Amino acid sequence: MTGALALTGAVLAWLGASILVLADARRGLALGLLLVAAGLALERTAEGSWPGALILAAGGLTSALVGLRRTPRPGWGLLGQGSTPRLILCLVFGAGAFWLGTALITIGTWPGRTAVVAVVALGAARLLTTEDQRAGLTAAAAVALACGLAAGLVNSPEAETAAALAGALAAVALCAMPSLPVAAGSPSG
Amino acid sequence: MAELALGFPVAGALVGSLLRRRHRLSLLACLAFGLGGLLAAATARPERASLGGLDFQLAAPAQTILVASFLAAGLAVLVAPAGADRVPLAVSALGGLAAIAAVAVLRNSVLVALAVLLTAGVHAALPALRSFRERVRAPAFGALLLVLAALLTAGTASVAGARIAGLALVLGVTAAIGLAPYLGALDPREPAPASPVAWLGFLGPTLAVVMATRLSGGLSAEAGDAYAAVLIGLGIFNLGLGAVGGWRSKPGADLWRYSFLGDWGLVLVGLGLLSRDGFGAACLLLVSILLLRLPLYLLARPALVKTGRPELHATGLLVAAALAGSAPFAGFAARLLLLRSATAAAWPLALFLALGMLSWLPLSIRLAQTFGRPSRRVTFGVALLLVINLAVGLYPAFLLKLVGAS
Repeated sequence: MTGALALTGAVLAWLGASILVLADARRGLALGLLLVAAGLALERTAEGSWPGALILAAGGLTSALVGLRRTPRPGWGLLGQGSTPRLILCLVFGAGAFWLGTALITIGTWPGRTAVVAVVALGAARLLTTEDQRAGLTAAAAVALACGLAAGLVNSPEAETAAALAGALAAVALCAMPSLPVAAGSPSG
Repeated sequence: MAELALGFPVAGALVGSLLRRRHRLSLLACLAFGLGGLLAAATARPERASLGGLDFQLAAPAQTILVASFLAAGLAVLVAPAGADRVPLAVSALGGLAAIAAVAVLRNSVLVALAVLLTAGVHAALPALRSFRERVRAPAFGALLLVLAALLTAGTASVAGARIAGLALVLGVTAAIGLAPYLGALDPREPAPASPVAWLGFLGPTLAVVMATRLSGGLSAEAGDAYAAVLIGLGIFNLGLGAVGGWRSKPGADLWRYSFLGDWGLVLVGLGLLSRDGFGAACLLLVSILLLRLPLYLLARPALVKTGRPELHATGLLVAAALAGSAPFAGFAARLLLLRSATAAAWPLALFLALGMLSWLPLSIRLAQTFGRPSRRVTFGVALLLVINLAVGLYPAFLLKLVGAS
């Protein structure tokens, strides 16, 4: 049962990160971040770390709400024109994350590792390629949440809650950054 | 105490930001919290401490560079151009110090990467001339590579994974700092906190020392070889690019950018030699970047914006000597130590380093010309920086002892 829960968490985290890659407007970005947080929290719940799960979920929810208010572009902005390469990227990175999580990295459980690698890789792809500041900051917030989980895996179990708190705070701080003037940083796409 | 070195700047940045409309009170609060942080950093003991499940530790080399960073932040606020609003600068300096302290004191390598990512996001979201994407790319890429390195260092099943960890660590740190091949443009019109110089001259030194002392500690023997080789390779690349770029640049912001690159090239080679002398030389150079090159660039910025005719004055010759690493300034001891260490490892490397160092002798005179006709304020600032650099240069053993390289 816990194995299935952890696997669901990993899939949900990958799905959320994929939506972050595919979305260009505020609802889509907020949904992606929420799903990432829910997936990571579900994975933590499966491992029996309730406080860490709650903190990650709360951090994801708060940063998604803050991001929703800060992002100027309305709507979902999902699967817009020219999104096929991004869709393929999500599938390839998902497979790559599964391979890294099961074959190369050995800390923690494999669904946890896969979830972390999927979110970090897809978040990185979005952050490093987008011209849109809000999309970049939301992707960075997702990576911060994944780092909160990963830091708990690397360190002793006592540090899990504090690491999740650090990740959640970083995610909220990133989403709370004010938007730059359009000329300086937020053309869409 | 190590956690207080992080807590004071965080609190200072928040309080200073909240009080920003009350100018004098905000500056006083920033000064008080900055001094508190400096005191906490200087008196922290190297033992491991735990707070709320998180482990903190401030090792001696990181502590020395952290203290130098606090002093550099103070100098940056002090030498701000006449008429500039110091409150945003002081708040940004404290924010940067909080990031530096987090990198220096957090034992968990993923949290170090998280601190770098957060700093990259916040830094890129500051109003500036370049786009968000242009500013976030290198440091964010660095942070993501640091996450990969941390995960692979903590547990990998293969030798390839261990080697990738060493590679990702070095590439991550160089990307975060903004060294070649991730070099960004330096525009003197851009506010200093939002400029790439914040990474090159302020946040970078602590990150480099933490990489060399703590983050690389978990690497396996196979990964260690890759780590050292990539460090030396990138060091040579940066040193060469700095020299060539410097020769091709006119006296201006580009020349300053390449001068930072030249120093960083020497630092990377020093760290990659994995010797006590090499590490000592790297630390001396990092202190020199923090307490000489960065504040000098900030002092030269108003003249760089005006783009007046380059002029060389009497103080300019001393500035050129200090920037080139001539005796008796701090850079001289660093370069001697580096050459000694490189000679012991491989003489062709020492020959290349010597050529790289010598190439900066005439270039430093051109750098000193960028000050134009200095005002009294600039002359005072330059004199203060030269005295500090001279003190470190005359007695480098003190600093070397502090970082454990004597």
